[in-house]
Amino acid sequence: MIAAESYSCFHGGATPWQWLRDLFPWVVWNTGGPRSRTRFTWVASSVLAGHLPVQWSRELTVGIPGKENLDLVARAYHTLENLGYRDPDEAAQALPLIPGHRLHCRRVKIGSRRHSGKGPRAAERFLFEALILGRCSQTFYDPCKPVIWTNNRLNRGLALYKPDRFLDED
Amino acid sequence: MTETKPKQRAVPARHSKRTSGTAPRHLPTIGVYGYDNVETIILAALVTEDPLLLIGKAGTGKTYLLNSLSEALGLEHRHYNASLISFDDLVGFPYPEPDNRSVRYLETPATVWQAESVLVDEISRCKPEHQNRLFSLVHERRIQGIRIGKLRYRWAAMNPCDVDQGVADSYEGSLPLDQALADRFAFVLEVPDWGELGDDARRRIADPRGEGVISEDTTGLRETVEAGREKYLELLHAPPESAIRYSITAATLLGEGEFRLSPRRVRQLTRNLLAVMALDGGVQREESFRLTLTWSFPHRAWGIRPDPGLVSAAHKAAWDHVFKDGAELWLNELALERRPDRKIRKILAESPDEDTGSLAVNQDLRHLSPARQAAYALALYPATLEGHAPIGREGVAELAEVAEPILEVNAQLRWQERLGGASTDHPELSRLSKVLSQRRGNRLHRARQLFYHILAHDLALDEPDAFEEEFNRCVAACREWLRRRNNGKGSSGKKGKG
Repeated sequence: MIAAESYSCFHGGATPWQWLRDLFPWVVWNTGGPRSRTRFTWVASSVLAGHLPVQWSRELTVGIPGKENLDLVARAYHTLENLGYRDPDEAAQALPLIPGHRLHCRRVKIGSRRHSGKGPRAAERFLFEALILGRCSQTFYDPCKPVIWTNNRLNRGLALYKPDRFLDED
Repeated sequence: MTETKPKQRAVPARHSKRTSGTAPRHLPTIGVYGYDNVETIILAALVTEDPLLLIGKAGTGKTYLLNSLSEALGLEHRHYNASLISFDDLVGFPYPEPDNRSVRYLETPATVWQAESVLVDEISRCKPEHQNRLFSLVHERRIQGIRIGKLRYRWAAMNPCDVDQGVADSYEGSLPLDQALADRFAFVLEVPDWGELGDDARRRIADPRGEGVISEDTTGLRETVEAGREKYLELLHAPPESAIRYSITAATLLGEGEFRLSPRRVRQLTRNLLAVMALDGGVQREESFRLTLTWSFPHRAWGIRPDPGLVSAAHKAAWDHVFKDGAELWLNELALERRPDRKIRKILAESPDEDTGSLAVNQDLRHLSPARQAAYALALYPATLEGHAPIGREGVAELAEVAEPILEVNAQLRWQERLGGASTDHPELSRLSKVLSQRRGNRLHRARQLFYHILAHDLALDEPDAFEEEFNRCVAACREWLRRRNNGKGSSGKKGKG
């Protein structure tokens, strides 16, 4: 057996394994270590963000800022009464710009600076968002759905998307 | 007066070689001829693993059939003759444990403990005390209270018994089976005699070649049974309401005709229907239901033959009752359709109402593989958002749930690569990229989104090219429906609120 130290003297400091590898590069040397390695790559694509021709357009973002667990249901009914509507469905019929078609929805974070609840038409704006949130299930908004207000629903922030040209031919 | 028959549709592709009761596939290949009309029932008994009883005259091939099935399925099989058997033959010789507190049985190749299938031949000729012991074997897969762990199939055979012994053509000593024991057999099947066989079956039976050859599974019998069993367990978990309603109605009508089915038997009938449905790819076929009802009565084992007219009338009335409103029938026809794009076309164009549309979506999603579910939902969901499709909210919500994770994919893929070798790409990504390289425009973007989802969730995809074609056809079906709908809306002057 040749000591590694003496080898170092002969071969410019290379260890015996390195020396053998250099000498016979076509041989697969089994050093007892793993003979394969794990590789990684990422796949990322979205039809909800970006500029693909099949992009779904973001129609609306709704959400009522403020502390979570706030009693938004009570506030919504109070606003409804103040604005002179008998029930949420009547308000949904009367308020302009409430979407009349189904939309896909996805949860998003709502910035605290979005309409603060002050200023002109703040009540209408609040009611508008509450009505839409009340018609959104976990995944889609349906204008034919009755408005259901719960604190869970009203505390959500949602982005609403329309499929637009997704199904179009080129 | 002409009788209108419910439309029988084409056989689904996956089962194209086998139509209930008309095109047998497996039994002739293991040398069993003349059972064409009841092959479905025999396969259903294999799928449920519930007990099966064959009744037939001597030499009609009952024993041969069951022994051949066990050979073809590669089962550890035991064949006992109930008229000769002693209890020790079944369990082995008892000997005390060293501590003298319990007894063990000395196993022999004939004992039942390692059996996967058991055939109790001449069950109607055994002594009453043996019948009691066989009861626990047939019913609970137990002997002396000890479970036979590997036992899957319990089969029995007997000659016809007549309540009135001594009449011509009766079998001396073949006594009516105890009703409690007989009721444990899921299917009680009367096998055909020479006079009922077709010319081809007669010629094949008369040909002595192949006698004594071990039966081999050359037509995928095992695969059919395994796939059927998987589907059956799925159906058992969520049985279709229509199968339950059929059983209830048929049993009630038979009861009114003074042919009583026990509550246990009604439940068993539903299980049997589910098994036949599983073999039919989850579809409810009228012929399969009729056949299942016909062979689900235990009465033959105690010498009472059901009146064929009564059974036929009960079946007809139950079938019509379940499918009379058209929605069930339509759903059934939809289930027969294998191509997702045609399913989509049918739903969008023909769904009778939104609730049925939702049921159709639910049914389709349950029957499709995860990858095809994704393609189906990614095409249909946007169409349900864009135009008011005849699909209710529940259906749209189900589609949304499947489609949502596809809309945005951001995933890490990992693979192993040989050290020291050339650098490689993710093998599945390379395979799918080849398909994508042949696509252009919107079709490319949609396909990429779907493929990335499939990669991220490691979904199985055999033929990506054909799969993408199928997805594109689904998209085209939705697009055409939207176009037609928008044209119609334009001409009628209606306008959406949005």
